[in-house]
Amino acid sequence: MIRADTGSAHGRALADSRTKTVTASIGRLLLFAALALALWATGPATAQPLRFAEALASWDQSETPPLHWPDRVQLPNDWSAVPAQFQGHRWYRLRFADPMIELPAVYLDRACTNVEIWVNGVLVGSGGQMVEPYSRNCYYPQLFVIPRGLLTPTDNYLDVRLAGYPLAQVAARQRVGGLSVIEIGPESALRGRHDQQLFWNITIAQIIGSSMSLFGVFVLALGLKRRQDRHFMYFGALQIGWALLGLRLYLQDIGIGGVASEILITSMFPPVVMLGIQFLLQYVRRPSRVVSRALALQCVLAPLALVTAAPLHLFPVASAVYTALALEFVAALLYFGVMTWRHQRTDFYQLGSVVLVAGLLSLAEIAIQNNWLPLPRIHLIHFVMPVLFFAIGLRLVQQFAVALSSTEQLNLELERRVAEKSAEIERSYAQLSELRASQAAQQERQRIASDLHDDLGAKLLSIVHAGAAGSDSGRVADLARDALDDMRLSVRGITGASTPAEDVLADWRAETVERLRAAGMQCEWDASAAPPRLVLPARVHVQLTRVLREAVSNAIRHSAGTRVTVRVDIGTTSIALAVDDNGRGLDAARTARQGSGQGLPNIERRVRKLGGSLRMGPAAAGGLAIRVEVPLAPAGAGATPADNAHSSRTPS
Amino acid sequence: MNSALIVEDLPEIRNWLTQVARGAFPDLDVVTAARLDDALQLVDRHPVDLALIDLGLPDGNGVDVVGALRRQQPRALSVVVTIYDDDDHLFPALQAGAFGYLLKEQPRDALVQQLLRISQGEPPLSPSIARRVLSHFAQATAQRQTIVRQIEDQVELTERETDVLMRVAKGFTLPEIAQQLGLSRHTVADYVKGIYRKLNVSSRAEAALEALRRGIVAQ
Repeated sequence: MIRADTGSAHGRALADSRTKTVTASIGRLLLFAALALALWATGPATAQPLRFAEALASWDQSETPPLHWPDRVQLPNDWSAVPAQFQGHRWYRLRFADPMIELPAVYLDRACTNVEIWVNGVLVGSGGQMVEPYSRNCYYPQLFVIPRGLLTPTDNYLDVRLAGYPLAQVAARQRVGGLSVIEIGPESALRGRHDQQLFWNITIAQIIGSSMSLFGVFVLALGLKRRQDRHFMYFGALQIGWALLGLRLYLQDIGIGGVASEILITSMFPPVVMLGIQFLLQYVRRPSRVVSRALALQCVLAPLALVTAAPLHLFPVASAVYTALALEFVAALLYFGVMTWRHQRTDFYQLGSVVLVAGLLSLAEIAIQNNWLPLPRIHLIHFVMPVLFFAIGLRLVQQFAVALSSTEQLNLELERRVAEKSAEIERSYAQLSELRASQAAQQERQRIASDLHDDLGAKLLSIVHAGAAGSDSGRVADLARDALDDMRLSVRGITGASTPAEDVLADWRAETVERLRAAGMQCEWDASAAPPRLVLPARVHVQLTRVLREAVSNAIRHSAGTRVTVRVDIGTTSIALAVDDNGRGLDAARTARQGSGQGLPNIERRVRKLGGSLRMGPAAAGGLAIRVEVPLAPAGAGATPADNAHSSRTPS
Repeated sequence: MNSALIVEDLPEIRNWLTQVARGAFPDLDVVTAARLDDALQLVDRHPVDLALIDLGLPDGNGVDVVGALRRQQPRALSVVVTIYDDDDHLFPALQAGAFGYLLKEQPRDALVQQLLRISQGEPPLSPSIARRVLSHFAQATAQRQTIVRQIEDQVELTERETDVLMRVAKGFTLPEIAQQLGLSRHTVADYVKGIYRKLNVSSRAEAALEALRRGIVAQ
């Protein structure tokens, strides 16, 4: 399996150019976002709505506006100083004159955790549940229309019942009980303010949450496909986790009490941070089993600690947890920075800014938590983190694409090389076979030429000498006839294809029987069936034909016998030929040989050239017995026995 | 036999063949030709009983003379005379209608004997020729099964004829076969004659069919 190197030179070059455009775009996006937020933050102040920065307050726990208002408070008012064990609500009162507008409304930027609005003793509106579990409206701006019928021209009382938690009972400073400045004005103007605040606090979070979870699922799926790049999986899960964390901002009624929901929210942070840290470690390919175990342990210990601390010491313990998590995260970021600086320099430059911003935001959140920084109107981290995630996600996807294309390149390259090699092998194989074939052909030609030289040449030579010696024309004609016959045989050897053994046997039989009959001799022919499908090579066929003819001629001319017995045994590995006559016998044959043709020595020569054996001796019937055995080449080179196993004859 | 045609380009051999022919049939009237075109002209004009035809002529193959004779003088006996004894050369001649073959270099007496035997209706048949004949008829049968049109000249060998052919193909000589089948030599010789005749007919029919097919295709 090919593991593509995402840090290859080609990949880096590709990555550089593309990521430069991406980072540039992200930079622009951030700038725009910052400007938009700044504009909104300064915001057009409407002259019309009445702003109340002061109010009367009462800790009376009645469900209707109390009669006595002992306290006077500044708005915004927060419950950081409220005793840890407090549970309940606080009343606030404003006096205002009829604003003389058609549709008056009251607007609260922030009312944490939930409010009820009473005008002149009448309940005008509520944000939801005012008994445990409270509707969670800490992040929701509140706008209520005041019915005109309730207002008097001069003395109107706006009573606000705020339900919330003291600092000790929440996990994050953003959710401590508190009331912002109250504004009363035309509904139209205030509606605009309300919708804007709602958008930037809630709607954006929802949009980001859903798109992030989708993106996270996508990256997670990629990671599942590429098990060796585990950082993909962690990143995808991280995004989904972060999206789930965002639920805390806009889920209003979750059915469990405030403290329980705080514990739940805080307990979700360790797993998400663990995913983030694992992602960073996997990215630089330095996973640590110790760290993983510690982080997993933290996921269990943190909730336990929170449960133990609830409800009165929740905030300090939660702060400790958050601080620890943030510090762990920043440490992981620093490690990431160091590692990429050392080993993956391009990643350092491209993701360095991302990492830096993430680190700063985390530290800022901790500062806010510990009250070193004031609570901001908008939480940059909610907006910036998704953008950072997106940048990292893009980088990962780009890495993936580069890895894919380099794998494809590699594959193509390999295929090309394999094709080249195969072509080379084929070429050399073809050359080799050609060479072998031409060598074999050459050898065969040489053998045939040699035979021709020996046989035809010898016969023609004897004609020359017979003519020169003045032999009678009949004898010369006989010699010439022999030569012509021989030539035909040679031609067949040169031009003929291999002949089936069965056909060879038939030809030999017909010729031998006919010749002996013409010579007035009896023929006894004994030949076993040749192995089926056995084919004799042309040269063996031709030479053995000559051997047989010469043996029979010898018997006809010199044996002075009356009967010739011929036995032929064609096997898969050899041919055996036996010619017996009942004539004069060996010695007489030998002496007769002197004045004859070269019959018997010819047989000897041919058999030797075929690599066989020749034995001559007295026959049972008194004449000459000739025994010839010639091997057949193994399958492929010469004879081709189709199935040795089925051969019925064993060579004798 | 009253008249004979001898087609041979080498003059010595032409004379020699004339002697052989006269040796078999004294008082034979002989006309000769040295070239194919001369021979064909003679076939047109001069009726003969016997023809000795050399295959290797300077301006063509003697097989054409055999064919011409078969068409124009069907009762004439054609015998090819040749150096080649292989069936590649002989089989086409037999298909064209030759009744036998003589090998040129054989002694005069042997040739006379063979010629006499042929003229008396005992044509030679060697194992290789027999194999060729068998395969020819096997192919013809196979082909007929694929041909839609029936040609009335298609012939088949009888069982007896096939039997004789197969024995020859195995290497048995005609006298041996006669003995094995319990027939006289003359009867066996008649079978061989029949085989050759059918071969000629079958070959001509095949040629006609091929021409017809080509003609159809060419259209």
